[in-house]
Amino acid sequence: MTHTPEFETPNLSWSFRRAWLIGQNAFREAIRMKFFAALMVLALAAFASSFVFREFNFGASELKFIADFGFGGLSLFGSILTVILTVQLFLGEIEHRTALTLLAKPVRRSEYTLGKYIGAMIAIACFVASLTLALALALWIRETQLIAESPDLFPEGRVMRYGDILMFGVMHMLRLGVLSALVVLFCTYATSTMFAMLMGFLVWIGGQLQHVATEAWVASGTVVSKLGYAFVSLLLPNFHLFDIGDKIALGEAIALSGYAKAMIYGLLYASFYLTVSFISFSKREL
Amino acid sequence: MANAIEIAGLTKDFPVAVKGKRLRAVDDLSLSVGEGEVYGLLGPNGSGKSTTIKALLGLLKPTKGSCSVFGSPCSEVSTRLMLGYLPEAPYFPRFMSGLELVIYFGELCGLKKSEAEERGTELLEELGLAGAREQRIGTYSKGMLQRLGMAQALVGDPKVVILDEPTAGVDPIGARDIGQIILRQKEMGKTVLLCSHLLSHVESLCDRVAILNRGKLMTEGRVEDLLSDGDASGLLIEGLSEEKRVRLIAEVESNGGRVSKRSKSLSDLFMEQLK
Amino acid sequence: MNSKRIQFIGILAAALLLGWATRGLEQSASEDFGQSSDTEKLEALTQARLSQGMSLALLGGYRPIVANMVWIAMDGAWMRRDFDTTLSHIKLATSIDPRHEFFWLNGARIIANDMPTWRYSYEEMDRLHTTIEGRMIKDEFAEEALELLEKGSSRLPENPLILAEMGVIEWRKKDNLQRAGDLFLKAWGMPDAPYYVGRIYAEVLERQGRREEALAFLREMVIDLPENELEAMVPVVRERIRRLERALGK
Repeated sequence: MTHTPEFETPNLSWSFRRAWLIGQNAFREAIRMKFFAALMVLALAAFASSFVFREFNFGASELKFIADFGFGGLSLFGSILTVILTVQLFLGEIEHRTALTLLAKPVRRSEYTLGKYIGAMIAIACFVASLTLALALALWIRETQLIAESPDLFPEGRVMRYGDILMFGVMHMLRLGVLSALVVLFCTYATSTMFAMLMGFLVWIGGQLQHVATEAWVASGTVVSKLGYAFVSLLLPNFHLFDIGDKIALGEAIALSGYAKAMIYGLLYASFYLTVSFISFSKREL
Repeated sequence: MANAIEIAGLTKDFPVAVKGKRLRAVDDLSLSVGEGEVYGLLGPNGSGKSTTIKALLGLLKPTKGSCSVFGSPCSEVSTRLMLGYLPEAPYFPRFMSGLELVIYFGELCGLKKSEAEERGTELLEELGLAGAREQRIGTYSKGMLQRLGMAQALVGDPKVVILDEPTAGVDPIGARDIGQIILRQKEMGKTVLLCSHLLSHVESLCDRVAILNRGKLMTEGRVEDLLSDGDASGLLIEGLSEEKRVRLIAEVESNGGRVSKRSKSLSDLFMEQLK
Repeated sequence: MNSKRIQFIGILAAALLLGWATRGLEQSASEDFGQSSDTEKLEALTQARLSQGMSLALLGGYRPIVANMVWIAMDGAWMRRDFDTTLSHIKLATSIDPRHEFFWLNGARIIANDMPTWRYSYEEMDRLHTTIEGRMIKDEFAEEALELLEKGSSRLPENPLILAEMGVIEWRKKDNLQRAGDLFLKAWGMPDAPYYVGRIYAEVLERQGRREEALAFLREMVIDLPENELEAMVPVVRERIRRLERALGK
């Protein structure tokens, strides 16, 4: 009688379900973090203060100002939140050694990395969606009031393009998605949260100014400076690309092709950084 | 058939701050644990126990050598389907309830949610946490956390259970309960690798032990074999009256022997009082 | 070379390659969004030495508030007659928030009207109008103001007020009625041009002795003017038409 071995090496394929489970828990953890609520309140307060500050604004129209201020809050606080949250979710668990228990389960490093990214992105999406909707609502209310007060200033009805305001939220999510993926990549290397956060803030600022390096690359004269600017321009993602607030605040139409291209650009960068993170984290010793 | 755990020539070096220098945490370690055995890994801090465990769990890549579980290399993620692990001083998300945590880890082990819930409920009951299963982990005591750690280690029904200091920070009753859980696992045919500083615990539970120091295997074998010193020159005498005992001591000493009195250990007394 | 270093170089090379591969897409998306350059903003920022907090707020997107703060800081320098700070802050405010005409118009007015007077004490102010040196100073600042408005016009090409302000400077500060007339006419051709621009254009034509053209312009202009709008000043325009007709014997 032949005896079949009792244990065979089990087969374990890559599973999105495991990444999703980790993501769900990371999200639950994220929304319980104190600074998440603090930044949300801060952003809403900054946004509400635009109603006070608008008195300051010589000549600029009120709706544009409120829109601009709202976009500013989303951009500033959203970026700070993305860097801190991603680092906390990824490295916090490694520092607390919870990651050891989790990675001792049949979980691939890439599933863990993707899960943490998913968790951070759901939390960031909640932040961006709440603020975008609050901004759109506030603008709509104020515009209604202004139209009622002085209809002659609005001969063609509403001037704000609310669809584009929502698209601003989407573009912003893409920008933060790329930033978060880049921070995940730093986390796969970093041993301290301070280092990862510092790098995160640096690339945020660098990415925001990347287009300046691109311009300088084209304009500069010497070979050395051209090479230097080209290096920075090619290395960093262009976060400024996703800033469509200017156009929206001015009530100008935005080409749909622009949205499509920016989306492809953002998704390409986020996927690239995540893929590199998978490779880098799979080699990391815990 | 392959051994439950097979470690062959395991060596692990870590880089240190000085360039070119490396610290050898485990040095050419070879050992094997048979199926159904309870195996104790002993050694002082820094002896290489945790590094060995991490290598078994695939969390570290050996510099040299290999480890496998039932013939499956530890570098494979799928090998961990056969492993359950309780880390030293486990830390879990404080916002989850005990049951939620066990379900979460169960699902990560590939169980369906309903299966994980069923198994989690059973385990928590078995481990004496039935009343606290809906309670937030943040409110758990150290002992409860340790039991919860056991539950998450066992939820995937692993063939091999690795326990790193399961009794650290647990009171003697808790330690005894954990000991019983370990024995139950043995009865169920599971293999247990146990790291503990509580030597009496290891002595009473383990079939075999290995003692590590500075990354090297100092000795390894069955507990009885290691503890018997061959010439049996020491004797334990019990059941004599006070008068006969005094006479025996005088007789031994007149023949050049030595008699030392054995007192109860604090652990014995504590357990007696609580019976 | 150790494996970590190889991995780092590999990632760097892949990131650069991705940057290269997506360059076309990036440029094309940026063009579709009609994004403008920020180089000037950065240059102005380095000149004005903003505090770190302000720079961060600017980076975060709080442009209007930062531009307003810069403008308020400029106001202090303006009161102290601090030439360099006033000028650098005007340039900074316009580059931070170039979308609103306010900074362009008022900046140019400060440069063209106030700054020349800072060269003399109150007692000697007359020299600005009576001496050759004074005229040269006026001219120099007028050029500076026109340069600023030129930039403003390139940022807001549809804005008639900026062109009209350039016309005013050409007329009042440089006595170049020909150029002023061209600018007013261009501004008048824009969709949102205020009514007074047309009236000033006619005035400039008249002052150049081109009365026939002024009359023809005003006759054409009055046809489209709304009677019930105060700003259109229809009775004033009609009166000027009559005056010109009388003068030309028509």
